[in-house]
Amino acid sequence: MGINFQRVSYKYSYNAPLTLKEVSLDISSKDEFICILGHTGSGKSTLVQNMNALLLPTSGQITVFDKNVVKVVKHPYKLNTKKNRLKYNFIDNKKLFARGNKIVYSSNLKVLRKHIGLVFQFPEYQLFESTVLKDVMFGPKNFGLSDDEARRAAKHACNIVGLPKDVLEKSPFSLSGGQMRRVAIAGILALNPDIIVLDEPTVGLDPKGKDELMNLLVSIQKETSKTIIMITHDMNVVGKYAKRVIVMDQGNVVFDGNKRDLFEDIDRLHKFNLDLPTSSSLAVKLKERGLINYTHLPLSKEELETVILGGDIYE
Amino acid sequence: MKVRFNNVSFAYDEESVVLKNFNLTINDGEMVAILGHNGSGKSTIAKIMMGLLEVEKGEIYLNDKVLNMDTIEECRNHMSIIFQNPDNQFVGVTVKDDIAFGLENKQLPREEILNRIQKYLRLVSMEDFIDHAPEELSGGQKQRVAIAGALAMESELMIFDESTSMLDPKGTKEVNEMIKKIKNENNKTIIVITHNLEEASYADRIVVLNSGEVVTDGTPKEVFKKIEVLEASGLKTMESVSIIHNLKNKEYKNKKEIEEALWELTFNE
Repeated sequence: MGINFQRVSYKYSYNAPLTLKEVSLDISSKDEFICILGHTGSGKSTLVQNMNALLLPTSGQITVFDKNVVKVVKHPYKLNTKKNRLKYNFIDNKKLFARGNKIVYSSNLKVLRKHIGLVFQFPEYQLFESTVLKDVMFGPKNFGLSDDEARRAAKHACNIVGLPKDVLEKSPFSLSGGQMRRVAIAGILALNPDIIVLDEPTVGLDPKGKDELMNLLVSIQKETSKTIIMITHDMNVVGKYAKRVIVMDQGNVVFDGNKRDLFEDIDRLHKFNLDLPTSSSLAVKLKERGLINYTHLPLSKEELETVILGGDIYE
Repeated sequence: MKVRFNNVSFAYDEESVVLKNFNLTINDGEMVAILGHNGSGKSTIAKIMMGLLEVEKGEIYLNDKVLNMDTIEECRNHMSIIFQNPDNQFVGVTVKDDIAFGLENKQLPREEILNRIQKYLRLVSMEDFIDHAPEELSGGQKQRVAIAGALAMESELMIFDESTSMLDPKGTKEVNEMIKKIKNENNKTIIVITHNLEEASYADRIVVLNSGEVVTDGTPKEVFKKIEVLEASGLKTMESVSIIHNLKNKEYKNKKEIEEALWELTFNE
């Protein structure tokens, strides 16, 4: 099992409303390509930041690779006293049960973050080192790899994201926006996480950069079977690439399933404040005018072309 | 306002030449979209026009008046720019303060400032947010305030420098509706810098930039047809046009009607 959420709620401060409301989710450790949708403020970013314990749940249980993220109570019987310090840990299920959920000693969130690599929105703004290679090496070194090992991991990651060798010794700030974003993604890949989570990875990229990045993610997934989770607002990306779609609305998961089921129910889609992919919306209008016919709604340009040529889409 | 670039060249350093002998004329009252991939030099044009960067070679004319470091103060009175990041251009504590900032700098009378704030906030449908702080606004709302601020300066030229690229679909829609409205209601010259073809589709003219040179220039329909040129410039044509192109040599039912419908939908989405 990869990531499991059991009735997870989260709020940013004591008086704030709940940003996540009893969310339950099950995400496999392999072969998933999940798009998380929802309008601004629906809780998407909060959800993914809970996945690698950057934020910790207000209530509920998160389990990552069979280990629980638990609130550690030093004095479990004096919960309401000010002296009581709360800490969070990432521990083995077995150990948790063995200790009866009372006292756990070491903080271990770093292990969790090695499982789950999170690429933030506009990650190119987080580059800071003097050369590309050093920037990508920063993560692995932080996780205790030696210089040589970190360099090897970094070079491998740069290779995967398609950065040419001559770029590695350049300053990351001399690169174009698209390339800087690749450097940032390489920084996460160098940690070799089991699950890669990306917060709006294509936003701000030009069409070519967007295609290249999406193809890169698809090929990483094909080669390594890693689960990829991405937040996106781009319905064309969802229509073409997603295998599973999760829709957030006001802190709730309101849809979790197949993209075709999501897009074919247009009334519900509008209720979620989402749009159709461009090709689907063209298809709907062509069908309204009686020019084409289909049983399954085309979700990408390729599918619409098939339908126009008189074919049908098979699942 | 008429804008003319005459053989303009610019480079950040010797290795990276951004603009090479760039020529472009934008007529008074025209809306021109400058399209190009990330790093094509399109934002450099906006920075040069605002005097944030200085050209190496060539001249820029605003209504036949040359733009240089001596005239820039005067020229800035005639143009406004809306940048990419809504957070970077919000200077006031409230919406009202933010719009007043530019007007106070112009030393307008207090009455006039208040009138303009009211008028232009109404135009961008933000009049109910006049006393709100920036953190209470969404990205799209902040950009609309920036647009109101630019309009309040009553400049003849408005430049939108990728002003939707950091917004969600709702914010993007809001800003685009606003640009369309300004285009239709005010006799302003508008330059939209973008890599999004949909945003360029309602311009009078599209100019495509690649490696600092103009590779094509024409009406949206003319430019959308140039699929190879767009792709070589790191862009993609509209999906509807791409479908027409891909199926050009194939036979299918209702071909003529489907092609016509797709063209129509390209501009009326």
